[in-house]
Amino acid sequence: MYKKLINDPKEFARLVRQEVAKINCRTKDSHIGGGYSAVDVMSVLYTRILNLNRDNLEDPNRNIFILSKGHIATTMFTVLAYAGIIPYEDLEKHLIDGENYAGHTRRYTVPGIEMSAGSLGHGSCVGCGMAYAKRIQGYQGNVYVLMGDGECNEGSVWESAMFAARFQLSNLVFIVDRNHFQAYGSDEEVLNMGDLEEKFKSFGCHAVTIDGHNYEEIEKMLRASVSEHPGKPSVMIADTVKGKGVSFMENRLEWHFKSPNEEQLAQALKELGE
Amino acid sequence: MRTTFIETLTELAQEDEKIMCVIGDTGFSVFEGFEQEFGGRFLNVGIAEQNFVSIGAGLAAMGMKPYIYNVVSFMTLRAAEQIMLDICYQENPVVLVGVGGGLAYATAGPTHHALQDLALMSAMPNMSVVCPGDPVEMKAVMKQSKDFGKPLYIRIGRSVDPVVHSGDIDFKIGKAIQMYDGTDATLFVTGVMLQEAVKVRELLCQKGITAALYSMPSVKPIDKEIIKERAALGKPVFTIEEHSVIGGLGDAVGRVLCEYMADTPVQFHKFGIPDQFAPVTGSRDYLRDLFGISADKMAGAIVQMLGGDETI
Repeated sequence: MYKKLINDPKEFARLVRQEVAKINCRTKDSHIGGGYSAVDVMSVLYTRILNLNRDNLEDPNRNIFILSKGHIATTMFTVLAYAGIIPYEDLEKHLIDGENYAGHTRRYTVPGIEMSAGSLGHGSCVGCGMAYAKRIQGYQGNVYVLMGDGECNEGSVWESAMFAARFQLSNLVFIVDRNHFQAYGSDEEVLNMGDLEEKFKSFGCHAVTIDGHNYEEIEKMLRASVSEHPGKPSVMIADTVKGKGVSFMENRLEWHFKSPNEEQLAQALKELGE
Repeated sequence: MRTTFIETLTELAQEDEKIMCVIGDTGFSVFEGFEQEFGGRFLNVGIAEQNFVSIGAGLAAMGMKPYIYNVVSFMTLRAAEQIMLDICYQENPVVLVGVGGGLAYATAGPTHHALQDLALMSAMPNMSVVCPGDPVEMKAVMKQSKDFGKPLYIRIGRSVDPVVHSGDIDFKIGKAIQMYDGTDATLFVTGVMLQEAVKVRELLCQKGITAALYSMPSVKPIDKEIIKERAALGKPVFTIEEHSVIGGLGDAVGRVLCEYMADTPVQFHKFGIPDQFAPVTGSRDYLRDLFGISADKMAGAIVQMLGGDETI
C-alpha cells in the first residue's frame, strides 16, 4: 500500500521520526541521530520542493535528490514510504536477509534512490556531473545533495565545490546537515572545520546558514537558492541538532549508532506525540 | 595511441551528440580541436581525480556517454574507490581511458609507472578491461566502446605507438586476435608489448621453435575458449605484459589454465614486472630489459625453459 503524501512538512517529519524509532528498535542497527538531524530538511524537500512521485522518477526533467550521507538509510526509506514512492510495507524489509533495503542506500534496488551511497564524499561530485549533464542537455530540474558536516572532512567535497563554482552550476544545491557531531566526537574535537559557510563562499559558492529545523526557513532558502543566485551553485548549511526531537538523544554522540530499546522507544514515541 | 583516441573520439562525437570528453588537466595540445568543435561536451575538471571520476559517473547517470581521460596511475589509484562505487557499483557506462599504461612514462619514475591498474580494474565487478596493442586495435576498441553500455577501462600507451597489424582486424571485446600460428608453444600478449612479442616469436623461430601468438587486448573478459583450446595441446603457454605479474593478463590466463590443468598439464610462465618498484632510473627499453621483459630476455628464457640453448 502506498501512503498519500502529507503536504505539511512538520507532520511529515513527526511521522517519519516515529517510524524510524520503531524500525530501529526492531532492527537494532541504526544511525538515528544523524537521521533525526536531517529529517526536517528532507521533509521540506519531499513535501514542498522536489515534486517527485511514482510516475516521474525516470523523467530527465525531474528534481534529483542525492543522499550522500547514505548511512541514514532508515530515514531515507521512511521518507520515501511517506512520500508514497515505495510501498509502506517495504519498510519491514529493511535489513532483512535477501531483501533490497540495506543499511546504506543503493540505486536501482529501491525506487527513488538516485545514487548508491555509503562511502562519504561522493554525492557532491556525482551531483556535479548530473547537474552539468542536465544543463548541457537542456533538462529542467535541480540537483540537491544532502551531506553530513563530518563528511566535509573529505577532500573530494571541496574538489566538487571548486568545480561547481567554476562551471556556474546554479542548478545544484549542496545541503550540509550541520549537526556538529561525527562518528568519534564533535566536529570541533575531531577536525575543526571552522566556518563552513565562509569556506564554501571562498570557493565561489553562494552559501547561507539557516535553522535546519525551521520548516519555513528551509523552504524559503531552498526556493531562493536556485532562483535568486544565477551563475552560482548554492550551499545551505542547515544548523541542526543531532537526535533532534527526542530529549535523551539530542546532542548525544552515542545516538550516532545506538538503537532505542523498548523502554526508550516508548519514551521517544511519547515525546514525538503518539 | 592517444592520437588514434582523439581522432576516433572526434568521429564518434560527430555521430552521437551524447558523447563527451572529460579530462583531468592532462593532454595539453591534444584536445583543443575537440573543445573547439564540441564546446561544453569537452570538460576539464582540473587536478582532482576523485571529482573527475565521480563527475563521469554523474554525466552517465543523466544520459551522457562520457569518455574520461587521465593518466593511468593517478586515475586508477587515487580514484579507485570512485571507480568502484560510482561507476562499477552503479553500472554507469563510463569509458575510462588511461594514458601512460605500463612503463610508458619510464624515466618519470615509479609515481608514473602504471603496473597495477589491470589488477585493480579487473577486480571490480561490472568493469571490462582492455589494453589495445597498437593503433589498429585502439580504433577497433573505440568503435565498440560507444554503445558498450557498461563500464569500460581502456589502457593506452603514449601519444604515438607503432602499428603492428598490417590490415584491418576483426576484434570483439572478450576475444583474442590470432597473429601467428605455431605448434611448439603459445604466446599470449596484451597491450603495447605486442610489438615485443612479435620479436620474441621471430627469435624463437630462429631457434627452430614455432610459437603461436595471440594478441589479447581484452584482459577482462578473457577469451577462455582460446586458452582452453591452446592448453589442450599440452604445449607450454607464456603470457607477456607490461604490468605486475600479480593480477594482470598472466593471472587471468593462469586462472583459466588451472581450471583445465587436471586434463592436460602444461608448462606456464608469466612475463611481467616482478613485485617491486623500479630500483633505478631508466628508459622504457632499459627497464624492460632490467625486468626481463625485453624481447631478447624473454626469448632466451623461453628457449631455456624448453630445454634448449638459451643464447639469443
